[in-house]
Amino acid sequence: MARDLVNLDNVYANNLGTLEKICKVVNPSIEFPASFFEELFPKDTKKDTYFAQMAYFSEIPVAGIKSKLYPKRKGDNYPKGVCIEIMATLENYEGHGINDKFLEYVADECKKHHQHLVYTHIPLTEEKTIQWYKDNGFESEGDALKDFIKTVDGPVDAVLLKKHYE
Amino acid sequence: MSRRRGGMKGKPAGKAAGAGKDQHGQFLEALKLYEGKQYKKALKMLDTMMKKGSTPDMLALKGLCFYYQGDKTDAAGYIKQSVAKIEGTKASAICCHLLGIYMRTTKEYPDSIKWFQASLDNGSTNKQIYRDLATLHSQVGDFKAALVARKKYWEAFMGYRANWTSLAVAQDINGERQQAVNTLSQFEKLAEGKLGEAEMYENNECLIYKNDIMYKAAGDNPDKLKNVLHHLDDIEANVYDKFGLLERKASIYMKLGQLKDASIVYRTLIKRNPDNFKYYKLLEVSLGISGNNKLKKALYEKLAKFYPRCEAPKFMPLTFVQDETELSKLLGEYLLPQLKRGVPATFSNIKVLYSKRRHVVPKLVEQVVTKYLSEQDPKEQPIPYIWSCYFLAQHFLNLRQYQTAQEHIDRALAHTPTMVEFYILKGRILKHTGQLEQAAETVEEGRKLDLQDRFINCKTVKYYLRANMVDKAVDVASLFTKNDESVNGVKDLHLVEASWFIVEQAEAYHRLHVSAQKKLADAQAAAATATTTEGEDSKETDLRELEWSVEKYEGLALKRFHAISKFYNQFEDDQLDFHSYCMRKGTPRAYLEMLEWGKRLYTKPMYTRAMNGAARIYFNLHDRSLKRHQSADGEADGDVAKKPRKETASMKKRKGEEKKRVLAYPAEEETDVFGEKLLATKEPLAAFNDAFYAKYSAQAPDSERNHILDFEYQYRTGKLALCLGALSKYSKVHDAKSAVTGAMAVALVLATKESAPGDKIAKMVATKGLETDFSQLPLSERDNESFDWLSYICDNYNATDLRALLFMQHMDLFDAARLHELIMKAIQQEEPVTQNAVLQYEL
Repeated sequence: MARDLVNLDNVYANNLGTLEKICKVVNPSIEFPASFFEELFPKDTKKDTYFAQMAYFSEIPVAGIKSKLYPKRKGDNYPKGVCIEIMATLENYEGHGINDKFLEYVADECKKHHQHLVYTHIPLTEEKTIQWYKDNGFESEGDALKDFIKTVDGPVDAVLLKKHYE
Repeated sequence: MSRRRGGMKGKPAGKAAGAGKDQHGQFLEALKLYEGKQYKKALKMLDTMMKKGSTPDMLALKGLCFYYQGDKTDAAGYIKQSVAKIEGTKASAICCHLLGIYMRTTKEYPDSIKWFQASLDNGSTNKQIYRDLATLHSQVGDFKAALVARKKYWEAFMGYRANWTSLAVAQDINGERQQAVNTLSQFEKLAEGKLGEAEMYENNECLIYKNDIMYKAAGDNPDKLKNVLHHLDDIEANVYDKFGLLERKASIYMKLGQLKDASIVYRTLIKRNPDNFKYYKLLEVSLGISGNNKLKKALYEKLAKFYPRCEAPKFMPLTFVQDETELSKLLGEYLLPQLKRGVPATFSNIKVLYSKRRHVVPKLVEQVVTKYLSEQDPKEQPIPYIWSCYFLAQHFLNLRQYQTAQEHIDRALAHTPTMVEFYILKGRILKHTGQLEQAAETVEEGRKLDLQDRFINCKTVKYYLRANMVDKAVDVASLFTKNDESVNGVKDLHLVEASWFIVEQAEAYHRLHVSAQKKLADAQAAAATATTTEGEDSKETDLRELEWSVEKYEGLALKRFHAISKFYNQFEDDQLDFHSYCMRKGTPRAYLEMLEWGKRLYTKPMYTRAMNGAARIYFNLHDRSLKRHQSADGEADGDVAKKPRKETASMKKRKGEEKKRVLAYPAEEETDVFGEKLLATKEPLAAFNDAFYAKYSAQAPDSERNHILDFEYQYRTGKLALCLGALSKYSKVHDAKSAVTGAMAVALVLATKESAPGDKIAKMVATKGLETDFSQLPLSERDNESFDWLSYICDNYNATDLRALLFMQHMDLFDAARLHELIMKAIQQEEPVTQNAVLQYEL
């Protein structure tokens, strides 16, 4: 039986640490607040909806995505739709189409929840990533968001990229 | 244990002694109530009867009723009264039977046997007693008596297969093999054609068991062996254990010298299970090619083609091929496909070659895998890349090249930081370099990746304990335990007999104790020299804190070691049920295996580990009390006599908190949470003997004994003749020239000095023995106070033998400073983790 080399699976409370590890290793400069991961499994019944997945390369967890559903508009920076908060793949496992799978997954969730917009914020410096989104049909909108992302080296500017789904 | 009182159904054999007819009737009624578990009513009735005076019968019954109501102290009281009223075993059969039952439930098996037997002797016709007796005899290991009882019971109830099986087993154990075979055959005849589907498993076990006995009885006699073989053919269709059957067949062929036939059977076995290495080895033997590498190679090449998916035929040539070029090629063919697939156990698969062929295999493997790794691109072939790094890290760890090992595991981790295995290995490497805290933190990092992984949870706990971080360890362990009302899982870990945890915790506590002791000594020394009165109070509290730590950790260590001993007692006791259960289920082979296991129970690694740990503490207690005596004899000022310590309120409170965290048993049953009572023993050696040593000593064979422990124990009890025994056994089993032998012998010589304390005769015996077996020692210098024995040992034995040096350290016979120096020299060749352990906890 031919098996796909890359598979996606849910994130569970028990392997949340793996997602955290991946995100931190891939983005060593970003300071993640503890709540960034814990909010996926809230202790109280919060109403926020998240879509998180991990990608397994030959059963090894190598990439993760976390996105949040914004059912209502929340300012210009957070329009109604699904916001990809982070998408990270370990460097050595890039080029296996993992990000495509993630995007497909988010688009599916977006449709399931009757949304039409997927968007994300990418630091201006990450040209490669921005290009990838653009290749996948995302468009940048508006001016650069000043000091949008906090890193250990100080805040950096980001660009809002979005894509409409019918 | 289930409560079995089957025996009481039979008719009472005689009148209750010393009671009128009327009273006897009443007693029987009470007995009935007891059998119906209506203990309250039974007790009420007994009370009315006893107003007119009590008999042993009534007291015994009363005791039993109390016992089953859960009132164990009262029960013991009444039983004691009952026994006191009986002269010898002159009591009614019922009374004896009741006492037997009571003693069995309280696990006083020899007494129980006595009373059951008395019940029969005093006229009981209750045949069930024989079954109980047989069980108890088996439990205490008196198989001769068990056979008698089994026979009696079998005579009374021939209608059950279990009784025939038990009889045969008892005969077999007593060496009456032919009788055992006859017994089994007889039943087979009786049962022929009458067995239903449900009984066929039992039947199969009994058939092959009979063959076992026949095989054992046959020895090397060819005619008898042929007979066994015929029997094997006869029963083949009805035996389910095909492996056992074929293995038996092959070994008979081997014994008969029919090697060709044997080889065919081994080939059949390989076909059934091509992964069992044992069969390949035996096939070599049966083909007569064990010594011929060329033929062996040809054989395995063929087999490898025949079983292409199988490891064993590929692996076996690695154990004997001599030519390095060829071996290197074969290693590559064996290892690289596994690395390519990403098999985590690749290194474990060939690890055995690292010890057996240390001079060839590791260097070749290193070449092969290093080359392979250099060809793997981390992005293109991530799987082979990481697993090759992982493999090489293990390889270098095995070769004790820690630096290189660490570099490789770091490469793997940098590449894929999400593999739990890598963290474990990194922890392991750090552990070997002596960085215990870092090791624990590394494994903890891995644990956080996957919280439901029980394996890494246990690993983390163990690493924390090795780093003496007990609280952290308990917290992590408690994630997987049933905690109910307790604050952590310590209690549950005791309940589930998690000996790995408890022994590690014990050892951690002991290490903490040693460290605290050192700190205390330093602090006391500082306090003694300090002249300022400033801050006196806070110093005083610090000292008290330290004193408490010293005592607490030592007590807890001992308490935990005792817990292990308790588990093993429980294991031993657990056998009780199987003396009858196995017979009913028809599993005599498994039963005999269990008996063998039981005979070696107290020599199992975990038990001996706990024993050795406890020995350190008990020996220490003994030595301390000796020193106290000496100093008390010398001057009666009794500085050592502790000032009654007043506990401050805050300390008391903290102790209460701590109590909850270390509680090992249900709070209501626990009277010695910190093991203080264990430490307070007046006779540490006797306590050690009772809890650990006696059971070990009875089971451990000479070839495997810890003679050093024997020596140290007997030395302290003053039994020098037994020391001599341990010494000569050690020199026989191990090496007469080893430094341990030398050190032990010298210790014994010094113990026989005129000025040494101890029994004269014992000294003489030891001296005599030394003169005959160790005449090379300068025995004439014995009473020469200025003779330098330590130099003598250094000059004549290997002075860097760490075991010998530590032995001398424990015996405390020589100048400490010089010994330290020697130990420091000796540990240089050890790996860092051992060095640290010795430095911190031995010196």
